Amino acid sequence: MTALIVLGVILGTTLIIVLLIIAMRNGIVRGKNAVERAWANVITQERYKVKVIPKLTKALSEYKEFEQDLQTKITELRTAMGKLSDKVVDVSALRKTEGLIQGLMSGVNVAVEAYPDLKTSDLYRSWMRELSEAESNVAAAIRIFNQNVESFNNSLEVFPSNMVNEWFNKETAVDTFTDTEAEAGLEYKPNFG
Amino acid sequence: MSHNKNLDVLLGNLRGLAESAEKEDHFKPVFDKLREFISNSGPIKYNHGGKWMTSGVFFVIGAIYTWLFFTSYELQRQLDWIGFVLLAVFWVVTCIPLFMIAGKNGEISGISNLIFEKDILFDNKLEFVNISDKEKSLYQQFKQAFGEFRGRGDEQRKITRLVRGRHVGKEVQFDYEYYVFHYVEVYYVPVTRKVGNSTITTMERRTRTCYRYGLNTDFDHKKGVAVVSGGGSYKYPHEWTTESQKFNKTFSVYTQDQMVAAKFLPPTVVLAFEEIDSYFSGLNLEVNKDGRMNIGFSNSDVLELERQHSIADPDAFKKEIESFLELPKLNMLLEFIETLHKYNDSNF
Repeated sequence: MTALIVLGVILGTTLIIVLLIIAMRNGIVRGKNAVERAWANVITQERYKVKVIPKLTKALSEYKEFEQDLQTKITELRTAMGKLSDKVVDVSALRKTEGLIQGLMSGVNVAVEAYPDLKTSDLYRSWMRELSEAESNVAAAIRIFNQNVESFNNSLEVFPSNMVNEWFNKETAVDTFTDTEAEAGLEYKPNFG
Repeated sequence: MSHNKNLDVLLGNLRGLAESAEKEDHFKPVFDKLREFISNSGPIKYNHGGKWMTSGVFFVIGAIYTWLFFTSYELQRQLDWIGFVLLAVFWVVTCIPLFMIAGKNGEISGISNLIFEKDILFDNKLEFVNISDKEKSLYQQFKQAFGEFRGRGDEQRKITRLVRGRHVGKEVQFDYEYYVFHYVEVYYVPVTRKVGNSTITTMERRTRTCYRYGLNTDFDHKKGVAVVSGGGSYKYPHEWTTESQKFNKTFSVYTQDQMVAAKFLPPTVVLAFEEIDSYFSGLNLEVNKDGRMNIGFSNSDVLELERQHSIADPDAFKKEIESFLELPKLNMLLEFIETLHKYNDSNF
């Protein structure tokens, strides 16, 4: 009788441990999928933002010189966008595209200053609103991506799921997206180990 | 006339003025009358000296009598039931002046509350709607329109308060109505009693009174989608999850068409939901097929603020009334709705 109870306790404990391991392994898989989905969303939002920019050319039909320069920069941006994959998490390629957009936008802002009529046109204002919303969506998508990355990285590094990852999943931590330009403007640098 | 009688007359007049006020300027005569009263009759405070004295005297007599009555069997035997009647009379007479004091003082804070609450409505451009004869029909109407009202409560389901307002934001303007939804939940608990040598377990009926609060407004951009953190009953065939694990842990999304849900919840809106969830509990949002939006929640303090002064201190109270009584939680909700409009409308 005692032997049966001991055997039952051992089997029960083993079963609970096995179920916990399965749950942790599946949690890591779900975490990775969430990171990939959030990344795909970042790329979708980024692509939408890039699509919004050419809409400005309609408002610029009277300003040929400016339009030509804009078209050249848009072509450069599209080429960079083409290199961004929604399947592979490539934070540095996204950072490069963001840099190109910022360069393009500062050019647009300088040029628009020279055309007061353009600044007050309905189309330009609508375009600015659309672009600002698209930018907010990219920023929000990046925040969601970083939230998911944090949660995923925690599942890889926190005991005991780190052991489950070592044995079964063998996943590596994903880099969060950081805005290097904004970071350069800060005096404080955190000393992460 | 005595100070207390003068104060009674004044408070009667003030209540009438406060009840009929339709804008903040209408409170001016209230403060004029208060100042006039203070300079002629004294402070806005009842003189309860006589009542305190009466209550005190009866308390002492009652206490001595109670002690004697319960310690002396002889006295109990002599007085019989009259002794108990006397006991009750002493304590009732002791308590009556205390209730009168509380009632009179309550009138001062009651009028202060009335003025303060009306001023909150005036400052925030809100209009109280009289629904005294439509409480149940309004509930039926809301239940027909929104899942928030379905599957809640078992009896006494009604809308007890309706306030209308208009939000004028930087880019979006819209009308809205704030409501208070009252319902009673019925549940049964097992109760065990001893009858002779045996025990009997019966199920006893219990009730719990609950309230939900919320806003209704028009939202034409996307239709047939609900973001639900709990409760209610939403009849949409599809579910949707967002890219955010944090959002998905709190909210379930039900929709008529998954494409609508995907477009309704761009990343900025998802983060806006995560943000507002930290200030509102049990938040549910639905845009029904007719383009009406409902946001329901459990927080009762959306139209409430803490009053700092009362008519007893007219100058400080006037200053408080003249300041803008901002409702931070209402503004948070309205800005949230503005974000939903902004990220769901078309700019071209």
